[in-house]
Amino acid sequence: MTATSLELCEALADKARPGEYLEVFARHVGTAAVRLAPDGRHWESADGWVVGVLCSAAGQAGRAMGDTMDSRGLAGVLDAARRIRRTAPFAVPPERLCADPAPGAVEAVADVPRPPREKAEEAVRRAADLGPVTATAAATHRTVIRCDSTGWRGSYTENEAQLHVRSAQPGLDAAQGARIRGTARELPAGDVVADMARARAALSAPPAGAHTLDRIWMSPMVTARIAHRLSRAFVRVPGRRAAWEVGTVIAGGPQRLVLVDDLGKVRPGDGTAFDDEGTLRQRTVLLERGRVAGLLGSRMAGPTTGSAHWGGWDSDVAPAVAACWAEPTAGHTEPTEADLAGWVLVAEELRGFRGGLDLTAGQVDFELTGAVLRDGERAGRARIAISARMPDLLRGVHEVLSGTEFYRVKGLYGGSWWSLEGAVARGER
Amino acid sequence: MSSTSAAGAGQAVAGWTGAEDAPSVHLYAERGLERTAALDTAGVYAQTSYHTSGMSVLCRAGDGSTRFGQCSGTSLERARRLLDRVLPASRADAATAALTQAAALAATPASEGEREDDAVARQLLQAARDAATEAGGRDVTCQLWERVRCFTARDGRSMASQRVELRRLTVSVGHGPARVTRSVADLAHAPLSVTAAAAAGSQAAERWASLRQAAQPRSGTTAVLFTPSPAGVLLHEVFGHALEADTARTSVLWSRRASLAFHGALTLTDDVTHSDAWETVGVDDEGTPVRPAILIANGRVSGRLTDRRHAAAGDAPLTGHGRRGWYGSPPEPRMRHLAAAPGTDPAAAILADTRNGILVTDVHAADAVPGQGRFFLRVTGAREVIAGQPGRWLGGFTVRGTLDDLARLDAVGDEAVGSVAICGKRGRWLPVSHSAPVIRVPALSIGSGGA
Repeated sequence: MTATSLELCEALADKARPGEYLEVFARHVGTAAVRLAPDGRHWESADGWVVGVLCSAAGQAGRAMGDTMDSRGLAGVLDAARRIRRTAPFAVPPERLCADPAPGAVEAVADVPRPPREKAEEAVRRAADLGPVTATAAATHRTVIRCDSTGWRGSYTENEAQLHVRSAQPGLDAAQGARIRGTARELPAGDVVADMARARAALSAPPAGAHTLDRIWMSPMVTARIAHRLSRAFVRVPGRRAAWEVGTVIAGGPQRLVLVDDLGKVRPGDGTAFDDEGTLRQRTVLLERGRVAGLLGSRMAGPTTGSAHWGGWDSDVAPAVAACWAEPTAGHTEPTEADLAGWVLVAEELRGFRGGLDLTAGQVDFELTGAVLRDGERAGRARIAISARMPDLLRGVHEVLSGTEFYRVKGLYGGSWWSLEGAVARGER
Repeated sequence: MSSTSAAGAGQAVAGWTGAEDAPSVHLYAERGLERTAALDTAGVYAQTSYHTSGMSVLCRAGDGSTRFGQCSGTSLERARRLLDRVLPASRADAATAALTQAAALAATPASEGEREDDAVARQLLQAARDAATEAGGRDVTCQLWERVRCFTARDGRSMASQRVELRRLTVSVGHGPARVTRSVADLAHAPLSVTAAAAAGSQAAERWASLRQAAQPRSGTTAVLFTPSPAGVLLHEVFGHALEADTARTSVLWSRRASLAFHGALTLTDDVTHSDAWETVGVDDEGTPVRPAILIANGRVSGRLTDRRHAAAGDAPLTGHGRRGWYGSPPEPRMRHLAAAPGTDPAAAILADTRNGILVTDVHAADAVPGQGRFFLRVTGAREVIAGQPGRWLGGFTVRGTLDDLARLDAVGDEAVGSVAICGKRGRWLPVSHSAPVIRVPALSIGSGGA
C-alpha cells in the first residue's frame, strides 16, 4: 500500500476527540481501457479516490464525502462531517456487524493497470467478417480501506477485466456482446464476438409478419438489464418509505422467478467480505414465489443486509446492489429445440425508459427486438412493446436457464436466457 | 445561479506554447462542492456534503485517435502521475506545469455549512414543506441541491476559467407510483425565494391530490397536447439529443433533414442567454465561448451542437457545447437550455379546438432512440380532453411516437414557460433547462398496462 494511504486513513480515524467515534472509508479505483473503433484508437485511464467520514458523539452523527487522499483534503471532509453533526445530525446508526479482526488486508493500493489491448485486437480480428465494430477492453483495480476510532482496520482489492464488442453499423448498435472476468487472460473473446454476431444477425434481418407468439426468449444481456431495473424496487432508500415490505405479495399464483443479491456468486471468498459500512456481506433473496423475500439495507437504511455503498446518486452512503441475478429453473444454458417450438421471439435488444424498465406505477414498459423463429427456423425480425403490470410480468417468467453471465449496469447484474410465456408474451392486456 | 468567467491567453509556461503543443492537448482542472439539505414531514433535517477536485487530459492525434486520462485531486504529484500516463515523457514536464497552473486557477469554492447558508436552506425547505402539508399533501419530502463548480480549461493557445453556482429545490409528495414532484431553480431573473418554494410545495400537493384517483386511458391512438413542461421534455429528447453532433451522425432526424418538415412555427435554439436558462456560462467545459445554436428553424433542421472534436471533424461549426458529466469524463456535445420559440396559437384555443384527446401535464421520464427516430414518454399526469374541455385525470401510461408523427404537429402555443431538469446521456448526468409552449400532435400511440 502506498503505506501513505492507509496511514492517512488511520491517522484521521485517530483524530477522534474524547467521546467521539469516527469511521473512515476510502476507495481507490484505477481503470484503463482501450477502444478500437472505426474512427480511431482511443485510450482512457482513471485514477480516483472516494473518501467518506462518519462522525458521531452524544447520540448524534454526521457524515461527509470527498475525493482527495491527502491530509488536507481528509481534514476538510472530517470538518464537514463534524459540522453536519452539529447542524443536521442524524441518529447514530447501529454498530457494524463485522468480524473482529477484520477479514483481509492488502499490502498496497494497486496502480492503474495496463489496458488489455490484445483482447480488443483479438476481438476485432474475430469480427472481421461482421462489418465495422467497436471493441473495448478494460482492466480495473479497486482497493477499499476502512478503519475506525476503535482500532478496527480492514482493506481489500478486487480486480476485474472487461471486454465489450458492439456493431458500429448504423442502426445495429444494439448488437453487442460482453464478458467480465477476474483477469484479462480469462476473457473469452470468441464468446463475446459470437454473442454480438448472433444479435447482429437477428437485428439486421428483414421484418417478419405479425404473429401471435407462443414464447419469448430473452438473451443474457437483456435479462441482466431487466434484473437491474427489477432490483431497484428491492433497495431501501434512506429517508423514504419503502414501496413494499418483506412479505408483501407482488404476484400471487405460480411464479418461478427468484431474484437474489449475492456477491459471493461472482467473487467467492476473496476478502470482499464487508460492505462500505463494515457490515458482513450476505446473500439476500429479494423475490421468491411472487413475494418480497428481502430488501437491501444498510446501517443507515436498516435493517442492514451488508449492502452499503459510499458514493451513490445522492453522494451519500446508501444500500446498493452488489450482484443481482435470477436463480436458474433449468440446468441447460441455451434454449433447446424443444424450447424453440412454435412461434418464438429471441430478443436481443431491450429499449425503454433510461434504457430499461420503468416501475413508476407498478408497471413495466419496454420494447424487445429480435429474431422471430417458427419451430426453430428464422422467419425475420420483430419488435414488440410490452406494457404490463409487474405481477403479470413476474408470472410470465417461465424458465431461467443456467450459465449466468455478469455485466456491469452500474453494479453487477447477472443475465441468462429467460423465457416469457402466457399473456405477457402474447401481448394481451 | 451565478457564473463568472475569464478567458484569455493565460500566463506563458515554458515549453507549453507553440504549434507542437497547441491544439492537440487539452487540460482541465476543477474544484467543486455539492451539497444537499432535505426536510420531510416528520421534521427530519438531513445534509450531505461532497467536496470534489480533479483533473483530466485529452490528447487528439491527427488520425482521430485519442488518449484521455483523469484523476482525483489537484496536487502537483497527482498532475505528474496523470500526465506521465497520458503523454510521452518529452511533453509531460511542461504539461505538468500547465496543468498545475490551471488547477491553481480553479479556485476553491467557498466553504460549506456556514451558519447563514444553513439558515437560508432551512427557510426554503420549511416554506416548501409547510405549504405542501397545508395543501393536504402527505409523505412530503423537500430537498435543496446546490453545486458550486470552478474549472479551468486550457490548451497551448488559450485558457478560460469559469465559476458556476446552481441551486434547485425539489418537493416530493406521496410515494411509490402516486408520487408527484415539483422543482424550482435559482435563475438570474427569478432567484429561489421562500415564496417560490412555497408555491412549489402547494402545486405539488394539489397535483398529488388530483392524481390520486387518476384512471388509465384506453390504449390506442389519439391527439395529444403537451403543456409547456412536458413539451420541453419531448422536444429535448427527440430533437435536442438527435442534433448533438455525436448522436447526429447516426440519427434519423439528421439523415432525413432534407425531407422532414415540421410545423412552420417550430424553432428550437440552444441558448444560454435565454432568460429561463438555468446554467448560464460564458465558456463551455473546453474553454470555448458559448454561442446560441439554432437547431430547428421554422420547422426545418438547420444545425447541430458541437464540441471541439466534432467541429474539427467537420461536422459543423464550433458552437461551444462541449460539456463534461464531471471532471473525469471527456467532453461531448450536450444541450444546456433548449428554447422553443412561441407560436401564435393561444393555449386555450388549442385546447378548445381539440375534439378528443389527452392533455399531458406531468411526465416522469422520457427516452428517445435517435437512430430509429422513435420516442417514449412515461406519463404520470394528464387530463382527458372531450369536446375541447379537460375532463378526468389520467395517469400511469406511455406515449410513443416517431418523427413522422411529430411532422404532423399542428399547433404551437403563444407563450413559452421554462423548467429545469437533470439530463442523462450514456450515464453522464447534467443540469439542463428548457422553455416551451403548449404543442399538439394529432396522433400518438397511448399504451396502458391496465387498459
